[in-house]
Amino acid sequence: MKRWAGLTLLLGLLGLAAVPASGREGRKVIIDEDCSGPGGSNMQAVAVLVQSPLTEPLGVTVVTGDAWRDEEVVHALRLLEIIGRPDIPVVPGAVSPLVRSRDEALAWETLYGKIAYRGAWDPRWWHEPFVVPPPREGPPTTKPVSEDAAHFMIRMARQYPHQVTVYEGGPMTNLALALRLDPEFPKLAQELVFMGGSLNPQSTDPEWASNPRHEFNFWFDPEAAHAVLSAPWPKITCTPVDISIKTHFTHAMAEQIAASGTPLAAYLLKYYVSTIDYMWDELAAAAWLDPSLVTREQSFYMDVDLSRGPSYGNTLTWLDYDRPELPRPPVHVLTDLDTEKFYRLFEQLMSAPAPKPQ
Amino acid sequence: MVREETQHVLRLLEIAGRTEVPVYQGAEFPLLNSKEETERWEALYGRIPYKGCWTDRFPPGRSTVLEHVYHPPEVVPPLPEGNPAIQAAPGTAAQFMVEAVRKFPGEVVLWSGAPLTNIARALRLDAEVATLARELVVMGGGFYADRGGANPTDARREFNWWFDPEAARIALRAPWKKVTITPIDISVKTRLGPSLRHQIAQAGTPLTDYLSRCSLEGYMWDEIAGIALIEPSIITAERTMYVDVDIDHGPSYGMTLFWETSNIVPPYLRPATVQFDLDTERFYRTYFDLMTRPAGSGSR
Repeated sequence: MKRWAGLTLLLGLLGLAAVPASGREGRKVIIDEDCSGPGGSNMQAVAVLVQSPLTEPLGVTVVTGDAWRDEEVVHALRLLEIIGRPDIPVVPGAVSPLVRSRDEALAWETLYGKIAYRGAWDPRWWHEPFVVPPPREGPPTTKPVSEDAAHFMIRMARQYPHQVTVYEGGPMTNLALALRLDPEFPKLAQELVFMGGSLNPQSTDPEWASNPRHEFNFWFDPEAAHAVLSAPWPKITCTPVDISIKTHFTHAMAEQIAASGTPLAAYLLKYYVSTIDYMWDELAAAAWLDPSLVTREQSFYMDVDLSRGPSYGNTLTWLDYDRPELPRPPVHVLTDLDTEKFYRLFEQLMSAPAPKPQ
Repeated sequence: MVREETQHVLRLLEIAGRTEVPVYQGAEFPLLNSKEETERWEALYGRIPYKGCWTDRFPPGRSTVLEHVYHPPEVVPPLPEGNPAIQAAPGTAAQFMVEAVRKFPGEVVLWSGAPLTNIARALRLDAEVATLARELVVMGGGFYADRGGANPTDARREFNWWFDPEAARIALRAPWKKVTITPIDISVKTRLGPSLRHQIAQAGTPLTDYLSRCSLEGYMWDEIAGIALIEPSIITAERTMYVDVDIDHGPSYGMTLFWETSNIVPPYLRPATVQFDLDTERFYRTYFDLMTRPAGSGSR
């Protein structure tokens, strides 16, 4: 007992005891997200995983995607304060995808047509990467940790072997960096759960009507997605566009949640995003918490097209009998859900007071 | 391969009593793609179950071609329907296309139910083929279908365009007055089933005897493209889109590319009319009507 107390003290002095010494028997999860905000799918997914009494969130690791890393860190910190869980570390990750740049992506469009949505790179709201526009929800008083996301993930997986779920709601840059630094990392994780990829969504939305295989998270960092999908995770679960677009977070739902009167509920209503109401990342998180929400899933082998031509970033899928010879783990792709059950779980989690760390 | 196919077409014309229609043998191989390279590509990017004449062996009951083992191009297996007595006309398919559009400017529809190799070669022999022709009609491409593709999980790899993607690229970017596409999406809404085959066989003409012996049940890919040309009103849903094909030699080689016309795209991408739905009952009736006419029917 004394030896362990001494070790904990040592780790504390080294500033590495970012994880609360909790006695909870929760499902350990690292939440890797492109935390654009305030409000919106990314914030709501983080909230789902933090609010759930079933989880022990080890940290929120942040990646550039929908917005730039530094502004996303601010939104994540503020969200956790509002929820009442400032003890959960926010860990900054990659500022850019592994290989390509915004300039390259925009130049690509002159050859292959304009992409409907480019996240942090989109000219409609673009600003320099390290500029943090004043957050509408108010600036946080807490700070991110000094460790970077990739090292944090590796450390958590080694500290809790086979117990940590890696949840990915954004481009997979941080995951790819982690597994290139430590190839054991994916094997030591319990499972990978992500929102990404697209097969054949039934939609007139131009983003997919012109290319059913295009999805933003994969497209923003295709090389990272390829590296991650080729790695030996014990289990991979994918929430693709196909199922995401079956869900809608309506203003009425936000009002219903706000009736609970918690700071989180007020935040969700005040910063309700009306332009895009699909519940991309929330669904991936909720389906991990309660798999009975899922009414249909299919197993595919999955990869991402890395050719620099018109199909760059496209989702690739195969069945068992036509797949490429190089081995890769199968991916459980969620294709249909019980939407009412999902909305009920979502509303319940968003309305509840935050579970306290112990 | 093209030599055996030429024999099949000649024999069909004999049976149908239309031997005055000339047959021109065209390309034996696609512009660039090859069996050898495809097999190496498959190791990296996945097996393609249907590779046309490059398929090593078809599984039993495969609907669109007879079961046979791969044979080299120069081999012409004996025709089950009998060998033809007539012969192909001299000259190549591409040369004939050039001559035809020049002889009848503005009138000729180039109709393709196959890989676009001959059309691409014609366009490269004479760039004015596209502007002199009246229309390009092709069975090819796949958009949103969930079956019917050369791969089980992505119908955007459609066989005709996958077999010769470079030819499809040349054809799709040429300045035709009009391009009409019959893709997988509409094809898989049809079926040549047992009852239609049985009804056709009752007519007892040489052609229907041949069909009852040799035709197979399955989707009616090219027949739609043919009948829609004669009777455009069978098409109940069509859209104008920019259409192209991926010729990058990676995992998406040969896949259909498309953009809604609201997209901003480079000027070398051209709009095409893509057929998505049809009146199947009218389609089957027209097919029945055409197949059961007496031998030698049709205008001369």
